[in-house]
Amino acid sequence: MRILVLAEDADRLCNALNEGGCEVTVKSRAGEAEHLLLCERFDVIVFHPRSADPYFLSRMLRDHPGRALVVWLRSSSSARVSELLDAGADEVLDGTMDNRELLARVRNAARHGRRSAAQTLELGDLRIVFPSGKASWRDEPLPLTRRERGVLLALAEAAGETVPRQVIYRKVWGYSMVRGDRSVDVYVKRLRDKLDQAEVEFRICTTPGLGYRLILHASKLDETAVAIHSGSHSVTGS
Amino acid sequence: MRFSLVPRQAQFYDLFTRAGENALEAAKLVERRFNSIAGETIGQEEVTELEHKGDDITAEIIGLINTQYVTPLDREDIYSLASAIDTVVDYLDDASELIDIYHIESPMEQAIEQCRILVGSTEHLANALRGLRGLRGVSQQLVALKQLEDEGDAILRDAIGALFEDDKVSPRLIIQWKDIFEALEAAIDSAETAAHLIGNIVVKNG
Repeated sequence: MRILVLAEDADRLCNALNEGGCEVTVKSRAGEAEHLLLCERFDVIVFHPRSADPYFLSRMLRDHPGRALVVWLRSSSSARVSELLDAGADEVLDGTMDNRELLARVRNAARHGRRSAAQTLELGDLRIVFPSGKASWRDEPLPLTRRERGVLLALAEAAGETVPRQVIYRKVWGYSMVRGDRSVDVYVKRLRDKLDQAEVEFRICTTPGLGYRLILHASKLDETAVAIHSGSHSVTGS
Repeated sequence: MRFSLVPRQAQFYDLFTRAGENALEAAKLVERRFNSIAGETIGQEEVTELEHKGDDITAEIIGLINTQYVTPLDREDIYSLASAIDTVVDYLDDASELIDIYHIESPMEQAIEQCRILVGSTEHLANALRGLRGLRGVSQQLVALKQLEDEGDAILRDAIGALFEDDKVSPRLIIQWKDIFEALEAAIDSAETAAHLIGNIVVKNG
């Protein structure tokens, strides 16, 4: 397992990973780490927030899907851990964990990352492949741009539920949305136009003042299940 | 250059009326352009065309000052007012051009509000310029324009504040929109500057 560590003074963590048979590369600057990620493939990215800028995690989520993102803290609080997990981190490690626990958590995060990379989401006849977001309807590819695919994926992941504009923006653009920004509305409109042309049997509804939700047409709601396939994993629910 | 001894005073007023109407048309076009960023239906060249038209009107006014022995208003006032109206259209052109320069994909509500203020301001400016000949109803137009300018200041403060509410906003987006908000505000301010000049003309000649 190849691991990129972006942190200063992470000797204990690196020793634990090396002893566990991982191939560890250490960088102390975010720029160097990001350059390396363009050239080489890593299974796990471990970083200390102090070595990265505030946008590092969102950039990694956007640009390197399928890689497990692990945050290394010297000490943590439940508020900080939940904030990082909500922001998209796969795991949060801290200095109180012993070497075995550190290694086990990193391995678990790597498994989670691989699973995310290989998923396909099926919603009736709609099929979306993660992490590219390439979508098809009844096996016909939908001609969507990268941003449109991202918006559709964000809505399909929570099909039937309202997804706030801020959440869609964060997932697709990788940053926080500025109050007054109409980007999400613009891309939802473009998406609706293309979906209408493709005559799909689902639609994107507006929840005024909040966001959007993807629903199948009423006739299809009862008979269709949402399924997420991941290699041998298959999760199905109505 | 030859001075004309036959006064052509009406021509000055006609040119100011045309300059005001051109500024209003430019503001309406920029508003439509900001509203249709995503649709890309209005090109920058249409705005630039109006900017050139404004330049031509200004050149005509200055040419007339230089060839007329008698002018209906002080020469300096005519020159300053013509330049001020031209500046409004220049700033409108600048703000609109940033959409292309920064590759803006979608609008901000605050910028659309600023465009609304600009259309209102230039409408009052055009009405004031139309009333310049007999100095009728000019003051009311100037008061209304000043109120809109105050509203524009509040929108700018809110717009800049929104860019800095969250530290995880894209720095690129902050740079782009701060420039655009400020360019639109500069156009609103320049309409107010033109209004001040008209106010001075009214006091002097009323």
